[in-house]
Amino acid sequence: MKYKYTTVDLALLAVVAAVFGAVFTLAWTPYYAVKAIGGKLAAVLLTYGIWYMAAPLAASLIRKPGAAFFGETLAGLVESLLPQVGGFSCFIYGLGQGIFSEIAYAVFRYRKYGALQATLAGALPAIPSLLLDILLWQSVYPPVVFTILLVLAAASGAIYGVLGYLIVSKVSPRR
Amino acid sequence: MRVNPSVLFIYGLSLTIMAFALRELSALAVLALINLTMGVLLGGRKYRSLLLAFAVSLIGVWVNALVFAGGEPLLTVGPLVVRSGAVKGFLEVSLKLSLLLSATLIFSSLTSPRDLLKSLESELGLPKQLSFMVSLSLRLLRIFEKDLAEIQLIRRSRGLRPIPLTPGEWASLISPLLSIGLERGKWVGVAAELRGFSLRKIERTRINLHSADVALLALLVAEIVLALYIHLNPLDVSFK
Amino acid sequence: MSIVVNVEEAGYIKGRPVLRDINLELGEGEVLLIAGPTGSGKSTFLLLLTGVLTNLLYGYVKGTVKLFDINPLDPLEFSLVPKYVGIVLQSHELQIAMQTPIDEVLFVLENLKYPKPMERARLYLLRYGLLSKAGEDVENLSGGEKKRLCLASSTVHEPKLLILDEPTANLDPWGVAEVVKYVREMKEEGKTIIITEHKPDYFLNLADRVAVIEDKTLKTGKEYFEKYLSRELRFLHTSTSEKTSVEAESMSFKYCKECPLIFKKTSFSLKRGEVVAIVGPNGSGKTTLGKIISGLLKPLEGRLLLMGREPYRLKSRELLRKVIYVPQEPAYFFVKTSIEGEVKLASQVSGLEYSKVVEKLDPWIRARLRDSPYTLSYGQKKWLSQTLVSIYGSRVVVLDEPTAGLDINLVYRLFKWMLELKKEGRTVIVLTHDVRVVKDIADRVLVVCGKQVSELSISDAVEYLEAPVLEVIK
Repeated sequence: MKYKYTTVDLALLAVVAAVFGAVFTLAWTPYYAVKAIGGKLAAVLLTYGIWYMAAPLAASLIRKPGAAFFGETLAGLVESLLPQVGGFSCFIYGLGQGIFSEIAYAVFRYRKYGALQATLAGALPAIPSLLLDILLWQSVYPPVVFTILLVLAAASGAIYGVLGYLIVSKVSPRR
Repeated sequence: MRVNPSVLFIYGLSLTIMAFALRELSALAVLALINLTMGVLLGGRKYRSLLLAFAVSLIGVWVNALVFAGGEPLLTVGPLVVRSGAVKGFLEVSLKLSLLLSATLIFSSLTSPRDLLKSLESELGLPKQLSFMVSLSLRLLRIFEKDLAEIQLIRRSRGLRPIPLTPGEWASLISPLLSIGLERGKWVGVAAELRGFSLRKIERTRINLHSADVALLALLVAEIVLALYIHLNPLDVSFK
Repeated sequence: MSIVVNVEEAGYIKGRPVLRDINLELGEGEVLLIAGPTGSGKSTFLLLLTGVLTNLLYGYVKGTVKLFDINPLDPLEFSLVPKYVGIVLQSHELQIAMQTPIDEVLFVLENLKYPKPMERARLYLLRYGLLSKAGEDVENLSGGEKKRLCLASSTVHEPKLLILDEPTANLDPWGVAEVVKYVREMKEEGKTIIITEHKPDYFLNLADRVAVIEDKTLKTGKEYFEKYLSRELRFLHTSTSEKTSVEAESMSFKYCKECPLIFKKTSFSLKRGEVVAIVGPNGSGKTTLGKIISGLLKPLEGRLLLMGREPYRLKSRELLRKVIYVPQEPAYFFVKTSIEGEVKLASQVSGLEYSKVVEKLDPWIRARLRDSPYTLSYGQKKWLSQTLVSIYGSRVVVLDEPTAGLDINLVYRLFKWMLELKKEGRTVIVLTHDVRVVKDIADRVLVVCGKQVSELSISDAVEYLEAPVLEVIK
């Protein structure tokens, strides 16, 4: 019973996807700005987590299995369907990140949707995201760089994962 | 030309997957040549800004390649050393990116997200819950983009950066969107339910393929075969 | 009786009822008009009636509801509610789920398995004057068109009961007139209609029954209704100063190169210490004008001066001292995640000591400093944003549709606050459709129409805003 999605849950997932669809685009500006000043590593630490944030936020809000996965994947899909340079790659990134984020809640058997789970759910998507980056960019960046990036991206994801949890608990404290 | 939206989606997605998976420069070059030509012919005019953004991103790729790549120096201009790895890396990444771009150009110029959802729901049996979520978020995206612009204006008027940098600033930007969003989500869900969403049953219609669809699918198969062939028998393109 | 409600208690959390002792019997073809303060439970009543409260929102109901021949509280019969009910919500953003008008209308017909859905959908779009926009993106429709779309998609399946939750909210007078006209048509067709409204005069002539939701209960009968509406709002129109605060000299504006001109070489001037109402149809450029005055947008040609300075050239701190823009949606005014943060930021900018500012705050705000502003109710959010505006002390205050969504008591408090600002010699600019602002508090009225800003006398302005509606009410 508690696992079944109501139409309101579906609509809320659509809201999360749309909010992040709008926000994701905005994240490129600070990414490039920080990259220009502080280098790629600083940029990754400060912004990568934003792209992983839809999952922990959706899960903290809806508190049902699959919410993390759908929140992130849907956000990527919506981005993909609109004409933009990245094309359908956003969907593939979203899919990978959504699956890994979901793991954070699955290992707790969907009993807890707290700050710890949100931290994990924010950090885990760094793995698929960096693996996909390797497939696309390996010929440019050497493996050492990718390892450092992975650590930073996971740290960034953890920060924004908790942030997603906090936002939900402030904005929608009753649930 | 009318092409089945689901076929276009599959085609675009396959191109994207190949962009991730392929490593062989010559295979990438052939695919990119075919599809970028198609993409530019179909949507080059309408999506000129995308082509421009793509060109700009290539500059970034080139700079990264110069900084990070190894290999023999090919050219030295003052302190700047162009290594062979940089040229190869630049070519590979930019060909991959151009495949991603062509997928979007082809898809967007021949169909719309709305038609895709209809086709996916009725022809491929996509669950109604999924198509509802996707079409709703596409509609909400437009609204949230407007809201976001409004919030940014007000941030500026209240003396804050319109584009957030720190996590705290991101929280203060996402919170109002989410706060309004929750209200919207609740009511849109209620309204959809009161308009019979739970009774919805979309009858499956048989997927109807026209000659253009068949041609596109055939092209896709040919491209996959070609890519595999080149992968197994690499052409001798060397940067030694 | 087609609708019978006998409910002892209802709410979201057991033991905390939002509604109590609701008894209502409504015959087929009757029109019920409900008024009541913001947050009194009007919406909850509609959710209770349709079974949404218990079946979708995990609420509870002690009692019975009969909707024609079904019991909406029963989980199985709940799924049949859509066949009997059409509902129009306050805001189209809360209702329209699809991207184009035709899809929005088809959605209902497909769900309910109507034969030949496309033909029927087109017929209803035609009836509501939207056929030519069937495939347009909903976001490109005007406010009035979106409202008509909501009406079309909630009546296309011929429901016996039509529920309208504040159907005139955010509409300009012409939009209101259209809605009233369509509601009259539906009454003539014999539909049972339930309307909730903050400005009930629009539907008074159509209503067979009137009620008020107050003190958690539904009070039917004229005596309650009239008592609720009898509050007097009127304030005196007085102008205090001769110095100009805002002055435009042949100003033009457009949003982008290819965009159409919003203003074309228009000139006007405002005095200090005035309450100025800016009226005009939806989409005429009222909000744009408000943003130009607030220094958020830059004129294309000509000049706009705010106390002698061009606002868009000012640094944010200096700008805030001169002018502040308050959006219609109060949530978008907040930039911090706690109320404390908001108050601190405002006192910082205006150079006041935080501890002194806190002392002067309303007690309820002081008690909730740690909370996020987004946990407040709609009325409280508006109140908090007004408080912040007072702290900032900006000389010119631009309010975008400040009365939207407020009940009569909150409007009264808003007007009193505006008078306080005026006493301090501040200029209050109100972008509005609300005739009450013009009638009861404005010193001057400007109308935005045909790319020009021009002055109207108060009486002309009242007529301008009331005439379209009066014509259909009669």
